[in-house]
Amino acid sequence: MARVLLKKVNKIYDGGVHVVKDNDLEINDREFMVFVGPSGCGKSTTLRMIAGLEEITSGEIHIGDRIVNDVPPKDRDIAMVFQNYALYPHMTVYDNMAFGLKLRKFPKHEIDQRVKDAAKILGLEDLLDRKPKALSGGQRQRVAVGRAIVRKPKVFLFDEPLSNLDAKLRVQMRAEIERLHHELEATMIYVTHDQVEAMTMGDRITVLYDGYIQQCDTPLNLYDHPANVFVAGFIGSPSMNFLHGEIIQADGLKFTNKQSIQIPVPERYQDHLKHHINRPVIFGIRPEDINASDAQGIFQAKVGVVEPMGNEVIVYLNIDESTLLARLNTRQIPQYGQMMNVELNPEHFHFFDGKTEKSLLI
Amino acid sequence: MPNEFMDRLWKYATRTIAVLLVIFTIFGFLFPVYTVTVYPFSNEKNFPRENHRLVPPEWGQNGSLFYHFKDLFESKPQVLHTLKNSIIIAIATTFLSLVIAAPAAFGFSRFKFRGRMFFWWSFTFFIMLPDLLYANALYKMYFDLNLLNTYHGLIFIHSMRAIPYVLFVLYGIFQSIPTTLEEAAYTLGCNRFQTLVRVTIPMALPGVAVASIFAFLRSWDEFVLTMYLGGTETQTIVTLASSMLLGANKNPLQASTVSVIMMIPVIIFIFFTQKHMKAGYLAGAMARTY
Repeated sequence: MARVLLKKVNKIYDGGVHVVKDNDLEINDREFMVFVGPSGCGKSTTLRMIAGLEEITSGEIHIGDRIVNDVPPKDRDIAMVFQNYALYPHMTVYDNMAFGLKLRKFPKHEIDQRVKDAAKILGLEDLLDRKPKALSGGQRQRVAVGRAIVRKPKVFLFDEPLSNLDAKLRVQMRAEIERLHHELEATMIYVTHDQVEAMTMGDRITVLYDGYIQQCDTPLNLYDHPANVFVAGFIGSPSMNFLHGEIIQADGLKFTNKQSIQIPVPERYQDHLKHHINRPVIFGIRPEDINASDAQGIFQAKVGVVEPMGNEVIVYLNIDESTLLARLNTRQIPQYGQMMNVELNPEHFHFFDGKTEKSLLI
Repeated sequence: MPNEFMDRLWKYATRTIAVLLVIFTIFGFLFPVYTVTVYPFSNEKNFPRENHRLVPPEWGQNGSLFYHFKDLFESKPQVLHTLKNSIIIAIATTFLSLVIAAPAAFGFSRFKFRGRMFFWWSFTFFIMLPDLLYANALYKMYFDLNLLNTYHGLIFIHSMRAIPYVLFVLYGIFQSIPTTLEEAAYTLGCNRFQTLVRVTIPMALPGVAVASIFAFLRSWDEFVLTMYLGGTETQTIVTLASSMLLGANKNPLQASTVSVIMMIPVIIFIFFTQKHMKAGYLAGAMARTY
């Protein structure tokens, strides 16, 4: 059991590509930390530096009480699960899972005990004599997880472990990894590009983009209080809607896109925004906070594409040159081309600086 | 109409070429093997002298199918000794060249280092150099170091000639093995050497099999260097057989008999190595299908 600490960690590849930039992060003992971000954001590289598979260009990484910068992977007390499983085709499932223990010269009965325990947890008991090629994708990934848990390491590292599984299996394995986290009570670091995985699994989530940590917080805090436009747009599906415009002083503060939309700023945000009058501001609103109104609403929009999902309807609303996505909890499906009175939920408005794209509310 | 004609012409032309290639293969490669193999099992009095026969009219001689083999062992008792020499030297060469070339191939395949391309091309260059050049260049050194007519001297030079081939084959197969499998080994507790021995080489067995056949045959057939740097005690069966095809005492029948004997260890060696030569050696390792 251990916490992981990153201090001013940088990674610059030989060609001069700077993929991880000055990142500070503390991952608590027994925490389930998710690194999420689009491809090339540095999340896998960060994980690989923690594992010891990539050298750290500058900065420090601590695991437990040790600085591990120069410690080879085998001595870091970590176990890693790879996106591609990376099982050994010449070994049986049993031998694949026992491999790490054999290398560490565990006594035979102990190896046997641990492999069988892990097999039981993962439902692999009947497959121990098989070679990996006789397994399905989900079973292979389970073996890869089993190979990690028999070691009982301080820290588990997962590098997009579910991205090669089909959607149904992914949901199932997701729950299994969460269950493992509760049973093993170990620190887990989990890399994914899938924000749904991040939201459902993480105790905390670190959002990375362009080599920088954008924000690190609990899933709900990320969702409700995104630190910048990138995080706001990345977390949540469908994404948050953004309108570019400015704050004006007209009968209290208002946001306007300089065309037909004028949105009154709620009382509690006025302090945050009063210094931004006549400056560029980005207004953000999540699709579920846009509603159809029987009364006049805030503005009128023309209904574009309509996507009925059964429990909800995704509606594309066109106003001026902008398109807003609304998620409506209704079974009354609007018609293409009809005009709709739109109401916004003032509880969940987001305002960002138009230049720095940072939140103005934090 | 002309198009159709051209199509037909093309079809017949390619067919003719294919048939000619088959004939060439049979006569170029298999027919010599056939004649040499049949020769020691025939009666030298009526085969193959009369009527250019393809099949001997009579199998064996003096009532024994293996007459010529018995005769060979009686008249040239050193055959057994040279056979033993060849086997020892070939197996040791195979082993030594694998032990040296495998880490080298791993290094070339996995790491960038100063002079990488220079070393790589120098191996290619070694292959191009004729044996005679090595024989010439090394004779004095072997003499000074007392390596002439020794097993280790021959094993050493045979390995030097085999290593580039082994290196190229192993490099190719190492390149085909995803590095993630090695990274997984590092996280599981292997150092680099353990990774090579316990993970990479077992997965590269098909390549190791091919490479060891190359190395074995390179040594088994090695003539020029063995001739110059060997001697009576370390004479190999190939140099013995060659002496039967040259000079006043030449005896093609005995040479054929030795050739047939020479085939046996090679067949046994390949029998045991070829079962590792299979496709799908990475099946199940990765999410992607191999």
